[in-house]
Amino acid sequence: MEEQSTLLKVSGLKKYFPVKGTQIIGGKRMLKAVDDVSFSVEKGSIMGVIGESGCGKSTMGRTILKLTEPSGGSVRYKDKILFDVEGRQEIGKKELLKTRKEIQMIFQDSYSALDPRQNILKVLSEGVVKHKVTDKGSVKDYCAHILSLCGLEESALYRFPHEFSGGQRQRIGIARALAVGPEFIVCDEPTVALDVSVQSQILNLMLDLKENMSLTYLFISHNIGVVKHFCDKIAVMYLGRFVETGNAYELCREPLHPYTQALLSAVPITNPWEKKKRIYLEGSIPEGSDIPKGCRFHTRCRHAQERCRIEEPGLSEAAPGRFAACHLY
Amino acid sequence: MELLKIKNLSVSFKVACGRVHAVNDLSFSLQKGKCLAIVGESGSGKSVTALSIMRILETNASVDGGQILFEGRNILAVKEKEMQSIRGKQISMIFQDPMTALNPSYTVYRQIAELYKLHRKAAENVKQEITELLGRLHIPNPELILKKYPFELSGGMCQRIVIAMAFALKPDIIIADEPTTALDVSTQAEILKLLKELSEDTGSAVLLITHDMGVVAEMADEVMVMYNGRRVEKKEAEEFFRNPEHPYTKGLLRARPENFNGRFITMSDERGEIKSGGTKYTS
Amino acid sequence: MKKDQNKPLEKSEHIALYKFIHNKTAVISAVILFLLAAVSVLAPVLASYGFDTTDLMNVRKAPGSLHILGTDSVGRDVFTRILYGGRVSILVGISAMLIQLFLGTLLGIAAGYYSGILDMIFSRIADAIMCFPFFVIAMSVVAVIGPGTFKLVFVIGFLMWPKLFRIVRTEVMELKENDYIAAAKAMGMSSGEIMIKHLLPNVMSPVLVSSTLSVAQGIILEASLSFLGLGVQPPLASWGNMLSDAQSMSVLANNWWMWVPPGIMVALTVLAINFVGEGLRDALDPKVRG
Repeated sequence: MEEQSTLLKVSGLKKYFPVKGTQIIGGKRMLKAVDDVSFSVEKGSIMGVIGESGCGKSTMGRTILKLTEPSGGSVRYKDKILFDVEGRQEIGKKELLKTRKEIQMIFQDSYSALDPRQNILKVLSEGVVKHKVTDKGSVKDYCAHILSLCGLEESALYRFPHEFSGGQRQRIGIARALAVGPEFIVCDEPTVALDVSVQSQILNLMLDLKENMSLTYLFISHNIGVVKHFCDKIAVMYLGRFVETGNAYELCREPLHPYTQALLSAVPITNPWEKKKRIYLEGSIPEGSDIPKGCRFHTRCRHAQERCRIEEPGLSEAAPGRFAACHLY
Repeated sequence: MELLKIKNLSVSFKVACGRVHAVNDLSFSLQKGKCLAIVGESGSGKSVTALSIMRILETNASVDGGQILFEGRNILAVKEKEMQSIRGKQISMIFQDPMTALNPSYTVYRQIAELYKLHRKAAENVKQEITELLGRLHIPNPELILKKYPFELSGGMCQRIVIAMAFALKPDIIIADEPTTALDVSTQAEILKLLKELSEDTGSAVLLITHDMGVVAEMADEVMVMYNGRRVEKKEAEEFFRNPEHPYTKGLLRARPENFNGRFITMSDERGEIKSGGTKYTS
Repeated sequence: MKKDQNKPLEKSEHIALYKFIHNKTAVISAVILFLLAAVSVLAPVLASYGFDTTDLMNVRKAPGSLHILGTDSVGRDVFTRILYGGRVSILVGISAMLIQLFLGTLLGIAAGYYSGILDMIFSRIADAIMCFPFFVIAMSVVAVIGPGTFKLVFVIGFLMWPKLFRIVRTEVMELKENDYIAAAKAMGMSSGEIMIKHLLPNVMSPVLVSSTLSVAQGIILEASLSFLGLGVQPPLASWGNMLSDAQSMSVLANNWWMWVPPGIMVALTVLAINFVGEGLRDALDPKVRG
């Protein structure tokens, strides 16, 4: 956090999907996967987004990268506006291509993230050649260099994805992102599919790379144990919206929003003799196409009051540097 | 009392380039009414052990030696017909992915009724028993759930149904193969609580297969660590967490993300990652 | 990572070629195919008779020293006609395949990748072609444009693409959900590049299998249409019309040399193409070891 300049600014981001089978009568129902999310990421920091499956965190990551068309809101990267749906602004094709070089992504499933028909040299060189990162003659050496940064040998260049283990494939995925020289990387649950010991190796690699190449991460995960240590700031997402944001350590030590409290209480104990008070949430998560009126968490909240059913709370500063979307604060 | 005793079990798979030994000379026992957790990384042979107890190994796998004694009887030698009556009734299994464990074209009711039909001749009171069973799951509207199809339910709800079915006939042993891996933390906590409650109610022993030390800490009375198809260490749970002996176990416990000091801790013996997950090939 | 030190660094194209060359069945089939084509092309040199030379003195003659494979019902040399017939049959089979390969793959990838309206339009056209009885359309089209070998090729190719289109489209719809497509987009690749570099190589296996099968279909369709008088016009020879000429009880029972040789040639060609297709598929798939 040496430099406090904003690298990425997301405001009012929305991504809706039409629900299938409702087009004919009564218009389209929309599944609100991401529903009005705003935040900014400082240069050189790691911003974590946690939430349960289906809360929209992955969709959010992809929408920021313009991998899917946004339904609303705007994203600014440095001084460039990637898109602003309300302002009807969109980045030009050439500019977008330039920005692609600077923003990269690491994927959750290393099986599906690598083209099975390409050897590793092709996987890595594709972006390198496209963005002319290095001159034609030295592409191979450059790729080998990037691989070695990610802890793989040069001989891996001529092998195919299926010949590697999950951890190694994830290293290749990181190498591919790194090869074009990005400044900002969206990491979509990069370690879920891995064993604990391999997970540690990959996370350490990412920390090393961040320090050596001054990267900035947006780290999407549902593993609270990892996010707590890996990230500087955390946002907790529920039904497409942030319900709490704040410093990672403080948020995990003393969660403010009832949902965050429940989520943290559900993390398994580390030792059999540890005593932990559990908060069990009632019912199940509502559908994204049928978000409750008022506070979207009130159907499962222990503290729900009359006001929560009517009025939707916005993120407000509940403690210094900590924001929660709850009427309690 | 020893309910299940496994003696020198070896299982291998036939692959293109020879045989892979998934389980090597494994011995352990499961006490009545207790929960034994088998821990290990992917490829350590923990799931294969579970499948051999149920005798539902894939066709390219074969048990090369050893015995699986259930109530003193070697179930590896039992006839398939007899095994069918053991499965589900005396030993039942919970799988990792609840969505694929249920038949998508059956309603929940039919799903469960099928189980009763299979193991019991008389079909009276089935409906009442099923409602009772679902009542124990802390589901708000059990009647409503009975009419639904699996795809209409969330992953957590499906896993609850699967667990209810596993416990339905009050089996002696429940084998749970990574029952919460596919679920979110909050659902995981609920499922583990349910698993605990039901096993206490029915007195079933649980063989819990997992790679998550947190789940082990929550559930297990005893812990066995597997590596490379072999037993590395087996201990009472508390003793296991307090005084792990084997270097591999120590590494496994230290590698948890909670133990962060600027960097995440990796296994002390930095194994080269081998694709086969450490299983050895012989040709 | 230890194993590969002794492995030379190879480009993937070379590996594919290496794998293909070491696949005996595929290589033998390729050689057979090449020989068949060569022999057909060199028919005028190799044959001692003209394809339409009739020898009325020797009608329905069994194989002998004068006519190696005997003569047909008007006294034409069967061996000569086999050689000339290969020209037409192989040409029709392969060009019909190429047309449907081109149309089916191109439209299939585009429809699967873009989905939406484009997919709707292509899919409806494909459905329309598929749900009409093949012969009805083929006959009416040929009736309008008139018979002829090249017209036949186009009709067969045009009527067969929907099958491949459907296979490719479904495959692409599944493939495009893979994260490597998202990664390619994030890398700044255009839709065209994604389709050519990522989707096309990955749909190759079903495409190759389906198209090799369609060569056989093409040859047989040519035969049927020729039989109806809509394809290759007599006295021009094709394996198809040789077979259909032999369609009578007495010929089948007494004059085996009139239908066995062209039958064997069709089977041989089709089998060889299938093996070559399978060999190509395995050679291009990095998961299959050579």
